Amino acid sequence: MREYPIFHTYIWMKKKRWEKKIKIYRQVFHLLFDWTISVYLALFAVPGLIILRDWIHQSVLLTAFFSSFTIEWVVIFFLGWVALQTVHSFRDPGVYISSSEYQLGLLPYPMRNVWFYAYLEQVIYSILMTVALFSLLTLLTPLDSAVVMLISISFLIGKTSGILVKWRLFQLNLFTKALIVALVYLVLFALRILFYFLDLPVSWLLGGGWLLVMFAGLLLFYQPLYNIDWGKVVSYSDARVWRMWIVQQITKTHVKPARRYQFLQRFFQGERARKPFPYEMSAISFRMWRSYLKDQMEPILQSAGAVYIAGVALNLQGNWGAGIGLAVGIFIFNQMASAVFMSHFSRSFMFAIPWEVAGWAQSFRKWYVFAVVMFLPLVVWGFDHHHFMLMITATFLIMVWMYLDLQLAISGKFNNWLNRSWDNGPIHLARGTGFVSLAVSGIFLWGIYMAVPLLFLLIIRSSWLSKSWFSMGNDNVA
Amino acid sequence: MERCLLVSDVGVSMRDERILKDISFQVNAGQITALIGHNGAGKSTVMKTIMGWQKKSKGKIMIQDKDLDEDYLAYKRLYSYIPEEPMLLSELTVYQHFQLYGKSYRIDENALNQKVDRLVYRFDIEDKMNEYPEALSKGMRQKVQSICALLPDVPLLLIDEPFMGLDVYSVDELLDELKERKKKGTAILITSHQLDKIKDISDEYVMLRDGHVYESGKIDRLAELKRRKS
Repeated sequence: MREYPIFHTYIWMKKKRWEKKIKIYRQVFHLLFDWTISVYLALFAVPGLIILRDWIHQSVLLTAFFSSFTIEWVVIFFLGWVALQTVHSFRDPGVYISSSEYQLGLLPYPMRNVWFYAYLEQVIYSILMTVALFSLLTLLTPLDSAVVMLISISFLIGKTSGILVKWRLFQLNLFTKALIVALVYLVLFALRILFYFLDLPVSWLLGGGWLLVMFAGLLLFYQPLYNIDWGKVVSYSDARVWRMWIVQQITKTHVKPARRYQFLQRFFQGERARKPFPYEMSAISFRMWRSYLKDQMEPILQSAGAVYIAGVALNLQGNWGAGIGLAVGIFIFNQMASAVFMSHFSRSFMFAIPWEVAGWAQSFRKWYVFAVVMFLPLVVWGFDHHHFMLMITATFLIMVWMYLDLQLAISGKFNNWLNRSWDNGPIHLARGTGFVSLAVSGIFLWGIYMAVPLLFLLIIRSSWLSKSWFSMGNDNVA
Repeated sequence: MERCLLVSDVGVSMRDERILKDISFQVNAGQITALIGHNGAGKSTVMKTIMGWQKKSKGKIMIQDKDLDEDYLAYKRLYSYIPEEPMLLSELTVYQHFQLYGKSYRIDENALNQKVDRLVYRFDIEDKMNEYPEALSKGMRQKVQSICALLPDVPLLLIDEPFMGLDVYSVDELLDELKERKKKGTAILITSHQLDKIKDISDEYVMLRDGHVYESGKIDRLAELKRRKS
């Protein structure tokens, strides 16, 4: 039987992976670009870079910045870069052994060789990145060529040695790792202080740092496969290898990344978290919301960003813009919040239990209030043309209104879910009235004062609402 | 015998493909009905449709007097479900799962604890109460999931491949528990590939093939048909 050397097998495997990835990229790019657009983009890239270069060179501010970029800054950049590599080791192994590479190690190929090729791949990647950095700095910036060279060497040494630093630190337990990272910071800080007080040439510090980091890298090269947490390494590497950002954005698929910062999870699963809940739906669901909202953080932050942009950007257009911005922003935020609330009920385990909607809503509202209290004042303070006390009152009333509007938004969505969309007429009316009042409040602040009592009145008086979600599973909710 | 579950002329379509076609059957109180069929026959889809998890394109489903389409929230209180794959939440310990089920089914706290004590003893997981699911084996997770579903005294139990991953001892305990529930008047709809295990406790069967009811009747008849075929 013919035996394939490990190098050929490794390269063959990589080639197949790249072919697959390129095929996926090609399919996705065909969705986005056609040949004409691609040719135009390529043609514009070169003059674009020239224009960028001229702009950087002509900008007084940037020229001043670059001329102040001396060896002192290179040292800070280098030390910061090394420190950053140690922090990355909390979630990044540096050398990526995915399931495929790991399986090579299970075949009659030495794992050490597989690891070495994976390491080499990262070194080559670092060299290419350094070349790219060097080219960009040389071509685009007015930096002195000696400084560019120093930055590039620092980057290369930090990056290549960082691979092994990350690999070794990644395998350690949290406490030891945190201790070592803290120690590294301490040593770097002490070095900096020492050189400052002894008034030694900064170039010595940079040279010494390079030697120290390279020496550490060489030391760590000894027995790289000792005491390795393969499960953790493979899990992170798998996610990294197949995490193709553009493809994920366009195809709306998501490769679940390896768990980051597991100390948070350990904190949330400590002795206290294991204690039984007070026997109340809201107490139980509060914990579950915390976990669910953590998973939904991306869309939440996106819509919070939209609220902020709408609020602040429209505020620049004057009073009328501020009111409309606030109304639109709150509408987006509440639509998002009610969608997150509803999406929770589409989770598979929710179909296995009855829905104590009122209990779930009660705990959800606590998180909502927390988010609003943290965020809204930032937006409302964008209104800079009113009396301070008036603004405090308005902020409070807007919060109350947001809280009530959320209930209406959820009611509407629940009615749709339960095929009772015909109940939504009064909800749309109430929300619409509120939003108009809020928008008008940019010009006449009394608009908001009208909106809140109006909504109170509608909610308390309207039997249609109290019959809908306020009473959903509400007989016995604590 | 009083009717508990009615599935009448139910159809399910996905992307213009008819997954379930005119499914009709009923399960009476105090009766165990086995839902059987090959892989892909539609057993799990029937289960999901009964729970409202899978939207139906036509037909009517009722548990007692509650219609799935008309009063879903009240309807949901009338069944509990043991899924094929445990659906436990990583953020809750085993006991916290029991609390979630207890509160969702409005079980009094003392009654819940009595039931938990009995069932954890029966399924031998007394020492796992403060563990998170990720620390449990698949069999253990399946036991926890089964206990969750057995906590409430609901009129209908829906059970999808309940023996997957369970050891022999736990399968016996689960079968005994189901027999007790049946005696108390609970209607049980159960799917399993292990026909030998469920035929002894079942009263009726509904056989699915390619998304429609191929045949149904008393379980004795199925055994007789199988004997004749062999």
